[in-house]
Amino acid sequence: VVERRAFLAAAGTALAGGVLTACGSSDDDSSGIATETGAEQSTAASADVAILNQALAVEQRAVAVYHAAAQHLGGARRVTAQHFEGQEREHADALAQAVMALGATPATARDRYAIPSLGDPDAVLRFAMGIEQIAIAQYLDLIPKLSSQNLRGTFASILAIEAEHLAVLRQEAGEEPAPDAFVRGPT
Amino acid sequence: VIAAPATRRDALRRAGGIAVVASAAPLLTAVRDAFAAGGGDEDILLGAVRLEQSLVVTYRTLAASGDLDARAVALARHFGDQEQQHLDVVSKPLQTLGGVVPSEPMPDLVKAGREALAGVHGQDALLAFAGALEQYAIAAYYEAQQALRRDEFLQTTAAIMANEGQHLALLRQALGRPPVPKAFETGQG
Repeated sequence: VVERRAFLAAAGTALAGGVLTACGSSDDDSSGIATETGAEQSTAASADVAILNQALAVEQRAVAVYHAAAQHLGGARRVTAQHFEGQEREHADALAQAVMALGATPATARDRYAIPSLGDPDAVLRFAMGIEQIAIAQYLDLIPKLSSQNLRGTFASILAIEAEHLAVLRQEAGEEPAPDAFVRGPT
Repeated sequence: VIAAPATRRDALRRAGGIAVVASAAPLLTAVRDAFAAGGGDEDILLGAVRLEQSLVVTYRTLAASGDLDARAVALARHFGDQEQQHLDVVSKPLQTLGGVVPSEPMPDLVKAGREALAGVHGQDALLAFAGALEQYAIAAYYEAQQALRRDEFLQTTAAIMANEGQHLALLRQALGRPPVPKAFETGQG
């Protein structure tokens, strides 16, 4: 919790700073190096909000999937699903707070998500693996689009966790847990 | 931060929650600070090359140590192969940018690695050492995400960081620890 708060404080401060300094910036500073104008920074912050909300939607869906998965799993697998659900919820909370730090409104979770019938524990694992792979692909796609350097780091730290989840799920399913040197999502 | 031990009793330190021998400190510090001097993308990629060279050498040494059981040897070989793939990929754009790719690990890193591993004995200690190294590598890549400029480098290093996270999770598991203890993997303890 402390780590998440620290991240949010850092991200919020950096982002708020970017918005505030936007008011008085110019095309060039005294060193002659081009800098962003106020309008450009405002546009960049708006773009970051959209990206954050896109990632938030991914996390909200992951929370719902792990919540459903836990209902269909038993023993250690259920504990793992509940643990991962909690971590996805932490991601969602952090992303929502980062949106609010930019003065915007976080996307709200849907009332329902399309989750197939998950009777067979192996099917549950495979569905969760698919969700993680989609999340990984989304984060890899979104990272370069962010204008905030702090948020890029945060997205990478979440991406690494989704990759770890995927490795654990693969192992539970009897598969090679880390088959690819470059974790890029669905292959 | 790992401090040099005052006595043998102080030999065991903890790096990110994983106990490692203090002789590992120079190598761990070198990995953690691999990108510290990086000003631009080229410097960061050079740091990545050195970091990956350290990981390749470490896993090969671990696999050949004779201290690991068959399962751990397979893990070390697999991870070493993946680190080699990382090394190959981060070397190419460095050459494209006009940078010089060191053909061998820096002598100071080799020396630090040799000294680190000389003090590590037994499977658990060796896997813990690898775990600490992975954690420090993740910290370096996490910082790189906040400094790199080019989109393709951001994505490549993020994909590598995610793989290092998988290595770390599986090493934790091999040590009987929870594989994914935190919701954010930054390489910090």
